[in-house]
Amino acid sequence: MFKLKVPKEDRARIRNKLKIIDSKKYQYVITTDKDAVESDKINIVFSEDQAEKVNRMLDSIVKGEDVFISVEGEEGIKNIESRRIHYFIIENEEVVAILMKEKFIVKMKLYELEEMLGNKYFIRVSKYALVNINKIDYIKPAFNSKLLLLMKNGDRVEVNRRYYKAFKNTLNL
Amino acid sequence: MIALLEFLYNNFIIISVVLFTLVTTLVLTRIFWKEFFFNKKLKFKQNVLRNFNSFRLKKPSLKSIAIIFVLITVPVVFIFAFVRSPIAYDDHIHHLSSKSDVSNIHASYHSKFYSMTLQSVEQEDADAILQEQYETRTIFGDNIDFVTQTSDDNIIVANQTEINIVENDDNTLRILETIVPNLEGTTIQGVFVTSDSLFVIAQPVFNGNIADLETYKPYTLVFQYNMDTYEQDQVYTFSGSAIQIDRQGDYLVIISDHFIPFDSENFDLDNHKPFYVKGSTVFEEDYSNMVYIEGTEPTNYFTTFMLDLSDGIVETKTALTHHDHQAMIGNNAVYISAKSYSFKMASDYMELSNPVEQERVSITKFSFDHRGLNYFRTRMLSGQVLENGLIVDDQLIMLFIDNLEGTSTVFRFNDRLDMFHRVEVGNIDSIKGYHHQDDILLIKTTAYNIRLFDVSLPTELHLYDPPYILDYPQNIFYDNESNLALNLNINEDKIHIVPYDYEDGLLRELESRITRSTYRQIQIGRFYDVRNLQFIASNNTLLLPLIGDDEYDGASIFVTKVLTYQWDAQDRVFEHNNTLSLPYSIHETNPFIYRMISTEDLYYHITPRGMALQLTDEPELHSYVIFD
Repeated sequence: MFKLKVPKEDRARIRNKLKIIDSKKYQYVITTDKDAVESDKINIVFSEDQAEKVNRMLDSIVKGEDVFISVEGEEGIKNIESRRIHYFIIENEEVVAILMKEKFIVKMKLYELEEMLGNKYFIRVSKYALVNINKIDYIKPAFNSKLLLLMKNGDRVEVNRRYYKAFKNTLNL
Repeated sequence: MIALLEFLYNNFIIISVVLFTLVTTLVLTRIFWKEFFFNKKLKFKQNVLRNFNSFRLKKPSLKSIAIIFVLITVPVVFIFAFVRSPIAYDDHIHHLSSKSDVSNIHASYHSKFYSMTLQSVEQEDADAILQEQYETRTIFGDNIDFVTQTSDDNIIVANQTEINIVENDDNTLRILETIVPNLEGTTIQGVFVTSDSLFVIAQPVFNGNIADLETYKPYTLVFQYNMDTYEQDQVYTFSGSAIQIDRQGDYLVIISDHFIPFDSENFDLDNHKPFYVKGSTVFEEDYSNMVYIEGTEPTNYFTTFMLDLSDGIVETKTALTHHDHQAMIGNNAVYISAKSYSFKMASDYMELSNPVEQERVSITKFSFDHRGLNYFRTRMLSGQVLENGLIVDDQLIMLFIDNLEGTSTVFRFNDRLDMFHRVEVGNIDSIKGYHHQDDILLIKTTAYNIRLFDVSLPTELHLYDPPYILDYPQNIFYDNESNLALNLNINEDKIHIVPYDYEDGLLRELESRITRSTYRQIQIGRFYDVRNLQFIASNNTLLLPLIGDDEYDGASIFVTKVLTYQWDAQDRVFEHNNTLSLPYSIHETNPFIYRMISTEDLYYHITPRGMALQLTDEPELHSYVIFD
């Protein structure tokens, strides 16, 4: 998502302040040198004493791009931020969004959700489940070439063999 | 428990377990690695998504570590516990260094040879082997006997309990000294002298009682006396069942067996080490002084003790080898031949139904000289050695081997154990005895025939089939000067002496056979040998001692009768010309021992109980003494 372009001697220090991890496929160039801007990217040029603000800005960029999902609960329909959802799963032919302690029915097909969230932090792990990468607590490999995802709410979601490679590629960025 | 161990000690199971654990270890390692790898990637991904606090990388659980450790340990333990490294040989010999070497060699041999590795030698078998070892009579060299002569012509005569030194004082015999050693239950087996010492050899006699096998320990005592004072200078004890004792130059050489009952209860290898005692100091054989002969079943310590008669220093060397072997002292060396197997290479690791690649005969030489007693060389030949098939003396080393194809082969070796000739000799069951003199070797090969070898030309010369079928072992006496070979046979209650002309490699039986009745033939058959038969080539006289009967105070008694025969070299016949009865008081039947020493003028007739002097020109005794 981000590419930090600063002098070599400042790199570690600034990276630490901004908590940036470079991506191979990036959309944003974060730099202290205005000559380092890239014309086909969004460039943020800053001086180091503004690092604090830039840091918050980067958080906003990530969070600001969050999408809201309409869900049905006991209190009716409401929109919730997708980053709060641990995973979507098909139960009784309905798509259910699982949060930390709650679950809601989503009036969308799973593949529609995958199209909407797939380029973000959600990943399809089986025919029945779409998982928020940020909500995975631990990955446990199994004997049968499957993976078991231990979610932060304590649930377990299985990565199907068919989606194993895609899951691995996503983690490899 | 034993059954479980035997089941476990199946190489198929061992290899299966090892492979299974290896595969499981690989699979689990891969899974654990994947777990680590995926979670590391997950953390990285979540950081990219600026989710910094949501994840903490877990360390591998103790359970995972324990599983991996156990899985790696199991095959390692199996490999170390059950799969032994092959034993390395140098010139067919493995030099030992420690007690564990002996145990490992024994275990390794059994793992190859027996279908069930933990199969043990049954107690009855072990008892039988021990009994056979304990009852085997020691063969003494010609220079160790009940009678010997000092440099000043005194005669030394031993019986089972004492030694008498007799001098000839103007043709009258006189006992100079009587020595009674502290025998501690042993009996005297022989004596010999050096320039300044008298040596007396004594051994215990096993009573044949199986119940005493555990407590009985065979050994050989050697007493050393000062020849001037007849005081005891030293006493030596040598462990084991002595096979042969011989004087070789300045050395007394004793070769002895020590069966190792590996499978007996409370077995401790250290309790079975060969040893010798000098005075009151015990010297145990060191494991580093032992060698193992390749492919032989390691059931026995074969030990050579070499006592330097001039300075009392003892050297030892031990071969770990099979208890059933043939060994001889000769030619400043000790030779041992034993059955050896070469095993298929896979037998080091696998339980094979037939692990034997080749049946072989080993011949190993230990040499001794001023540099000491040392291992020299080992040769391996295919086939089985014949009974008594190892013949060694000062001039030749021969090995008779059944090549397992219906014929036998004689191998001739030089003193470096290089084989320089071999000759096929047809089908021979066993060697009954031999006599080697000058270039002629007479070999009695079976109960029915004699073979002659001219050892200056290593070829077989002649096979002779005597007409008699004889029950008892034959002894062969050969006199080169007279071209006369005498075959001494004992059959039922008769002694036969069959003379042969030997000429141009041919034996021709002469008609002048001597056949005499005797008594106590069983004892005679056991103790009578060529040393009782005296042929004096210088005056063509044969002295033949027999047990005859006589009367004493109206009662029938046994006496030693010495029959004198004159050999007519011209007509090739024996003529009986005298019978001399030794006094009853110096007659001895248990054992029957008669020795004769001759000079130009007189004969000494000697038994363990007394000694008589006869002038050659007188038919009767001139003087005699009795040993109380």
